Amino acid sequence: MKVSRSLKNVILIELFVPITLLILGIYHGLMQTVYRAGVIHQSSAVKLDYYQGLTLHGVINAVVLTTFFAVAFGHATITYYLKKEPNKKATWTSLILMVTGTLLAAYAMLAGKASVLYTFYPPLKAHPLFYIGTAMLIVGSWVPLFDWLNVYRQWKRENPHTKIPLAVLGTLVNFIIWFTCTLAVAYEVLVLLLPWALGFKATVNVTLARTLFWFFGHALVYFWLLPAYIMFYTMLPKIAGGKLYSDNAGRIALFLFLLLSVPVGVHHQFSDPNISQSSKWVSTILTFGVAVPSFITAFTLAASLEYAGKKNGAKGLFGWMGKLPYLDHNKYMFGYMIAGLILFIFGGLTGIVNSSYALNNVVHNTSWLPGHFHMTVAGPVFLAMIGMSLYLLSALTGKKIFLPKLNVVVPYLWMIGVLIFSAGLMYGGLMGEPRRTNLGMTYLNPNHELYHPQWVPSTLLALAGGIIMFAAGMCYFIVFFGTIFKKKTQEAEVYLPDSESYHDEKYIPLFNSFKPWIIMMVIIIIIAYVPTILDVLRLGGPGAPPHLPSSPTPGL
Amino acid sequence: MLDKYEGKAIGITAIIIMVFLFSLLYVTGKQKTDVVECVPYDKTYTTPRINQIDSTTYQVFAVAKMWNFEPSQIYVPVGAEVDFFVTSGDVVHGFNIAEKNVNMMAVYGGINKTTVKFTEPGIYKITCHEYCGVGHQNMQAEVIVNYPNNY
Amino acid sequence: MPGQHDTEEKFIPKGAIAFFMLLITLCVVIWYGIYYIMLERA
Repeated sequence: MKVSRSLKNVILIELFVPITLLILGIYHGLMQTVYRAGVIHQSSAVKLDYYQGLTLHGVINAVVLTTFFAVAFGHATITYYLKKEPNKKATWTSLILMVTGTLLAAYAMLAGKASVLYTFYPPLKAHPLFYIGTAMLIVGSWVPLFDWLNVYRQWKRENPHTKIPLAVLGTLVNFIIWFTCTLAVAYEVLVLLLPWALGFKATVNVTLARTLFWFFGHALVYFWLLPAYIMFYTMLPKIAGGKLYSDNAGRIALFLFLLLSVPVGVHHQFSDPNISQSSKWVSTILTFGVAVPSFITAFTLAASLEYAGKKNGAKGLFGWMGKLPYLDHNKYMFGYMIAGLILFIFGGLTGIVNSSYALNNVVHNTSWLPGHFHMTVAGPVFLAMIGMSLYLLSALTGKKIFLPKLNVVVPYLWMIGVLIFSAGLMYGGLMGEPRRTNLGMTYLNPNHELYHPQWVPSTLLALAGGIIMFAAGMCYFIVFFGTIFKKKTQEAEVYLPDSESYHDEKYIPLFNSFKPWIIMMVIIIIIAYVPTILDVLRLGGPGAPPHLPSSPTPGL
Repeated sequence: MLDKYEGKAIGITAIIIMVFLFSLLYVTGKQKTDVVECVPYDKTYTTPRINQIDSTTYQVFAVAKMWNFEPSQIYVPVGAEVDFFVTSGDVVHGFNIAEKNVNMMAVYGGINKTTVKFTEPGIYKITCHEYCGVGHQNMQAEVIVNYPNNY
Repeated sequence: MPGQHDTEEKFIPKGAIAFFMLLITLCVVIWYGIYYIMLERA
C-alpha cells in the first residue's frame, strides 16, 4: 500500500531518531556491566558518571525508543489496516513535540544535571528541562491517539459490521491505556515536581509522587509490550507459514490488558510506607489477573506455530518446533519474534514472583529485577521493535536489507547474551546484590572494606552476557545503517503480513467496541487506587525539600 | 465464542493463580513473612535510637541519610526479636537485610515497620538498594548478633 | 504433502497443550523456588 511522502518521512524520522540514540543507550548498558563487575573502580568513565549513564540507559532505551516506536508502528498499522492515513498536521505536531522533548531531556541528562534515573523519584531533583522534556514527549505521544480515533470512527461508519482488524484494536487499546496512565505521571511531573524543582514550592509529598509514578509505571510496561503482542498475533503465524489459532483469543487478551494494565501499579510499592497492606493485597490479586492474557497468548501462539509446523510436515508432539523458518534470511522477522518469545517464557514467569505479595521481599530492588526485565522489555519488546524498525525502514525506502545473513543471526545472538546476562543478575539478586549501584566502587572492589566476594561470579556472568548483547547490538547497527545507505531497488510501500485465523469466530459486538471496557477499566482503577491515595494522604508526614544527587544538604 | 482448548488454558491458569494465592495467604496467616507494616507518620520516629524492651525484644529506630544509616551498628543477642522502624532524613533510601527478608524503603515523611527474629549469630549487613545520590554505593550498616555476651 | 490433510480437517493443538503444561510446570517450579527461599530466610 503506497503512503504519502509526508507520512513516510514522519515514520522514518520516528524510527531513525531513537535507533541513533540507541547507540548511546546500548553503550551505557555495556558500561553498567563493566562498572558492576569491578573491571573499573571509579565513579565515571569518558567524563560520563555511572549514574548519569544509568539514567541515559533507562531513558533512551525504555522511554524514548519505546514511545517513538509505538507511535511510528501505530501510524503503520492504522494506515495499512484501515486504508486511511492519519491527519498530516497531527503526525507532524506529535513528531515535533516528541523530538523537542527528547532533546530537552537529553541536554539535561548529558549536562549531568539530571542523574535521577528514569524513575526520577523525588526528593532527588533534576534540572527543570528534564521534567519539561519528559512532559513534552508524553503529550506528543497523546496527539496520534485522538487522530487515530477519528480515522477509526470514519472506518467504523463505512464498515459497520466488520471486525476491527486485530492490529488496529491492539494499537487503539494500547494508546487508550497509555493516555489513561500518563495522566497520573503528567500530573506528578507538571504539578508536583516542576514547581518544586523551580523553587516555587518548598516541599513535595514523596509517597504521593511515587504512587502517581507507579500508576503510570506498570501500564508503561504494557505500553511497551502491546506492539510486540500485535506483531505476535497478526504477523508471526503468517511468517511461520500457518494461521493464527484463534482470533477471539487475541481480542480477549487485548481487552483484559485494557482492563487490568493500570490498576496494578501498587505492586511496585510493596516495600513502601504509607500504603496499607490491603491495597497491596488488591494489587497482588489484580496482577495475577493481568497474567491471564499472557498465558492465553502463550497458548494461542504455540497452537499457531504448531499449525504452521504441521503445514510444513511436522510430526509428533513437539515436531512442529523443528519445522519453523528460524534461519531463513528472507523471513528475518520470524527470528526477531521467536527469540523474544523464548526470553519471554522466563521473563514472564519471574514477573509473577515479583508481584506475589510477600515473595517480593526476597527480590525487591535487588539485581533480580534487571534480570527479570531484560527478559521482558529488553527481550521480546526490544527484539520486536528493532526487527520491525528494520522491516519498516526497508519497506518505506524500498531498499533491500544490508548483509541479510548477518541480520538473521542478530536476534539469536542477543537472546544468548540476555540469557547469560539475566542468569548472572538473578543469581546475584538472590544473594542480595543491589540494583542501580556502582558496585565496582565498593562491593566489588577487593581493597575496599565493603568488598563482597559472593557477588563476583554473578557480576562476571552479567559482564559476559552484556558483552554478547553489545556485540549483537553492534551487528544490528551495521545492518540498520547499512540498509539506509543502500540504493533503492524496489517499490516503496507499507506491507504488513496479515495472518488469517484458523478459528475466525463471527462478529461479536462486545469484542468490537471500546466503551464498555473503558467503563469497566475506570471502575477497577477506582477500586484499586482510591483507597491507596487516601492511605497516602492520611498516613503521610511532611513533604521533602529538593536534594541534588551530589550533595547531602537540601536546596536547589 | 472461544475454542474449547483456549478455555482449558484459561481454566488451568486460574487454578494455578488460586494455588499461589492460597500459599501466600497461608504464609501470611502463619506470621512467617509479610510485607512492611503501615505506621502513621509521627515525628518521634525520626530520631535514631535503640530501645531494649526486655531481654530479647528490641526496637530500632533507623534513619537513612545521604550516605549512611543511623545507628550504623546494632548489637543484639542471639534469639533477639527486633522491630525495625525505618524512615529517611532526605531522599529515598533502601533498607535491605537480604539474609533475613527485611526489604523496606526509607522514605521522607513515611515510617516503615517490620519485625525480624535473629536466631543465628553473625554480622547481618543492612544495604541501601535504592539510588540516593553519588554516595549510594557506600551505604551499608550492620546488625551484629553475637553470643549471649552482648559486647 | 504428508500432514496436509489433517491440518485442514480438524486441527487439535496437542503440541501446544503439551507446551502449555510445561510452561505451567516451569511457572510453579520458579514460584515455589523463591517461596522456599523466602521461608528459609524468615
